[in-house]
Amino acid sequence: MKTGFYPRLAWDGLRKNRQIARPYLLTCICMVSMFYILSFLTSGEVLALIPRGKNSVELVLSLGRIVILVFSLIFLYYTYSFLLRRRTREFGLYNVLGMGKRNLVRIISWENGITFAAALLGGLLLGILLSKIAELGLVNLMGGAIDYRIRLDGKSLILTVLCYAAVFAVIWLSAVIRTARSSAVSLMKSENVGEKPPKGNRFVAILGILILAGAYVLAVIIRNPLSALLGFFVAVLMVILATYLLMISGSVRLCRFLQGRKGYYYQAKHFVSVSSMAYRMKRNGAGLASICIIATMILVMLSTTTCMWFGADDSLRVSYPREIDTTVYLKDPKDLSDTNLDPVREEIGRFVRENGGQTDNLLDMPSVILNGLPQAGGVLKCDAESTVGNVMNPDRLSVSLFSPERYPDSVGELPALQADEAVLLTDGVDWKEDSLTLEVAGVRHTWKLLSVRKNKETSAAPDRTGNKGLCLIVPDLSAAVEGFETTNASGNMNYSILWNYHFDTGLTDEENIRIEQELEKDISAFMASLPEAAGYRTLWVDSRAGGAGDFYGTYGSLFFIGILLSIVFLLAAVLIIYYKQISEGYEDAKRFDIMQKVGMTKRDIRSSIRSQLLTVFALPLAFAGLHLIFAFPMIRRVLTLFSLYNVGLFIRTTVISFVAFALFYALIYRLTSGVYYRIVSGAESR
Amino acid sequence: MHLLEVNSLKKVYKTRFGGQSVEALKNVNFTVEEGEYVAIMGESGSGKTTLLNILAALDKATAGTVLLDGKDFSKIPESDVAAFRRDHLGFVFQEFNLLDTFTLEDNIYLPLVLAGKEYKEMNTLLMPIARTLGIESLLKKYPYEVSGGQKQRAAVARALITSPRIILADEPTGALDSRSTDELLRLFAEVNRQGQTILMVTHSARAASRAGRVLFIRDGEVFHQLYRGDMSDDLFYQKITDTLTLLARGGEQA
Ligand SMILES: Nc1ncnc2c1ncn2[C@@H]1O[C@H](COP(=O)(O)OP(=O)(O)OP(=O)(O)O)[C@@H](O)[C@H]1O
Ligand SMILES: [Mg+2]
Repeated sequence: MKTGFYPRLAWDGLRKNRQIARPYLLTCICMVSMFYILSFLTSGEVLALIPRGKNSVELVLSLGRIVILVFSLIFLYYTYSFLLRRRTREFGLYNVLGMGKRNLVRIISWENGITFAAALLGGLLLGILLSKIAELGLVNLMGGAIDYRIRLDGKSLILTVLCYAAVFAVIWLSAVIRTARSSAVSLMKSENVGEKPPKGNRFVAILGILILAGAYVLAVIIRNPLSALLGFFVAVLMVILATYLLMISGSVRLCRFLQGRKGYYYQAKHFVSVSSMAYRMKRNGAGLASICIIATMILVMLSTTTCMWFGADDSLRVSYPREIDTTVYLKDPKDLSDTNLDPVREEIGRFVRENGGQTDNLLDMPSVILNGLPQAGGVLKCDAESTVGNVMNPDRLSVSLFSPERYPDSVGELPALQADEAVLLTDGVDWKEDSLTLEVAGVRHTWKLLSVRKNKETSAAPDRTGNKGLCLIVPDLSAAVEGFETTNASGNMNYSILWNYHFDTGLTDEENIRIEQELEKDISAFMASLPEAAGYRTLWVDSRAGGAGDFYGTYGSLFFIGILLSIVFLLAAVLIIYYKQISEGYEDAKRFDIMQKVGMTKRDIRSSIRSQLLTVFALPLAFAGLHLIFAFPMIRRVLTLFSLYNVGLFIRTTVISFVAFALFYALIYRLTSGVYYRIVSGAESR
Repeated sequence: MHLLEVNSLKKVYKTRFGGQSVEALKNVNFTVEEGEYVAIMGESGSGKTTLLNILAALDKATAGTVLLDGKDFSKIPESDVAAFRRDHLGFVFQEFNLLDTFTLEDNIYLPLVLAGKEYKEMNTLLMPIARTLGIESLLKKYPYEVSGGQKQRAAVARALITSPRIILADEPTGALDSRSTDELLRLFAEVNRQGQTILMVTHSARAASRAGRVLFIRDGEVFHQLYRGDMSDDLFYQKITDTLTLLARGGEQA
């Protein structure tokens, strides 16, 4: 079989440079497979297997996919330019031997073509293999039915091919342009002559600082968790960009600044390291930035998903304060009277006792519930219009009105309430006014607040949207909503009449789940037997044990994805670090040699190099830590969407993730340093 | 006392994976006096670089001694070798060996910075040398920005700035064109006139003819040496080429 001349040259070139080409190809394969896996997991067929939490899974994975694509482009571009630089000498030789630019471009094109084909083939194969494992794990955690069919998602395949065709096209184009622009002599010399000294564009460095500051401000000021998701995404892109700008340009500027300070620079321990750092950062800034971004991604993912996993229990207790949770909707505030509710209380008690349980730790809260947006002067605007579309608005407060006859025991004794007087119960909402006004469609009711008390139990938002709650104990529930329209024009409720009846049965989880269903049937029948005038509308019975399935399913799946992506990212980070060590090894080998001839002791050189490596090692980690600190408030807000209010837990998971990652990172650095020292000591023995 | 004294120097290279060993230096003896300008010539592979590396304490001899000012190289503890080299020896290499991360100025300062000198002091040392070598205007440039000849002059400045006892140069003109070669040789003669001892390995009879003495090495031994005496450059050149021819013929006969 006759192989073409150019393909063979391209292939030879790749083989000769395999120490660099192989990691590059491996990286390409990893990126392609990662992208495919994420696309695959968001495909309809896989989502269909997931019984709960589809939307969040889809959202998380899709955002991750975009980040990976952007990351691939930058990272592969960087990796390839290194490969290309290694080859310029060879190209220069071809050029001198009479090969035109046109021919060189053909070699480069073949080289890129081969890499692209291999990357796609290997990446998709690996992706398909791993996607099955990822799918199994995901579906299993989500409590879906597992099967062992190998799935192929055509759409994801096509999307992956298209996206990476675009990425490789960019890389190829830049290589062609660079080759076309360089002259034969510069091609030939490029490794001998040494590189231009990096200047570190001041404008770029300042731009990096500004963008980073902007991203940090954005991360800290965004309050609305829903727009936080979008804001978070914008901030992430800004942080990525800024990190690259700063690592590449900012650090060089810093070295230049240090070089300007002669007293500092011309000291044996700074002289060599500062000037070679300037070079190192220019060449490896992109690699460091990539490591930093990956580290940040891993840290954010690990800390949040572990927080969710370990916070699931907390979150569950916020949503289900007792083992059984009965919610009854009624028609009128008058229906909340004890005389009206007592028969149902008795029936619940009878039924639970009959099934071997108790109704302990009662949380008996007949209430009128409104949702309002705070206005100036202690006014809450509670129109359905202003609240329905604002479910995720963090300013929205749910207001529960209690009567002095029935309110949670934990509130304690109340003063006597006159007609327009009330007691406010809050947790986490700082109410500064001495009065509170509810407004529905222009009608206002105002209460003077006799006292404001902190109470955890009542502020658990009854609608479980994660909004903070206020509770108001008013003398008369009917009077409180008198004149308020019950529904708005589009039929949405302005307020609901709600009776929450929570209790512990002291039974096992299985029994509670059984009781949940049977109790609902029994009480529904009982309610139906009551006269129409009793005003009973609907009833829900939930059990904490039943809800736990949902909670652990959702959080568990996120935890799983977090771990999965972390592993994949870690692999990428390992590759980059390995790669960096090789390239630095080759750079330093020559320097090592020269410095020794000029009279630097081996120990000096080693310690200087070690301190540089250490700085370069610590930099991405330090930056990642900084990013993490500024992402913290925003992530915390996103977590409140999942009813996770435990800041202490989040701090703990963040710190633990960071420490664990730092240890792993240090280990990888140690191991890959071996590669470095082997290359350098090769020069040493010459 | 001689400035440099080389006694029965022997160097055997053992290839790393056993087997073959190469005797690069068999038995080398010579001395260099203070203020001398000595050239070393010999065919490719005759052991010139090996000899220079041993003189530079970059490599260890298999047998024999090297004395600088009467002090035995091999007695210097390993940890002090680099500092010894930095303080007493100056080097000029064929491929310049400038660090591309430094400006020419910083490259020249390197040995002084390593010795812990202050910037001010280094600067006052540099200025007269830079003037002599004609690189004053190039000091802020990076190696990639200047020509080979200019690079080599910077390398010479780096070798001179520590006021070394002796300058060791391995084919310093090997990578230079004829104009830069002439320029460099003129500079070597100039610094030699100012009292600097120089030991230079070269392939070029033209370059060797500028020295005060030429050593010829063959098969790892000093085969012959020529003193200039009061010969002119041209006459000395004539004698060197004659000797080289003889050397080559001798090589054929052997
Ligand atoms: N590191 C080494 N290991 C093994 N053999 C070596 C080593 N260095 C040099 N040699 C051998 O020692 C001999 C002398 O080499 P050397 O480099 O000293 O020659 P040279 O006179 O400098 O030659 P040239 O004029 O070509 O530079 C040669 O045969 C060479 O192959
Ligand atoms: Mg040689």
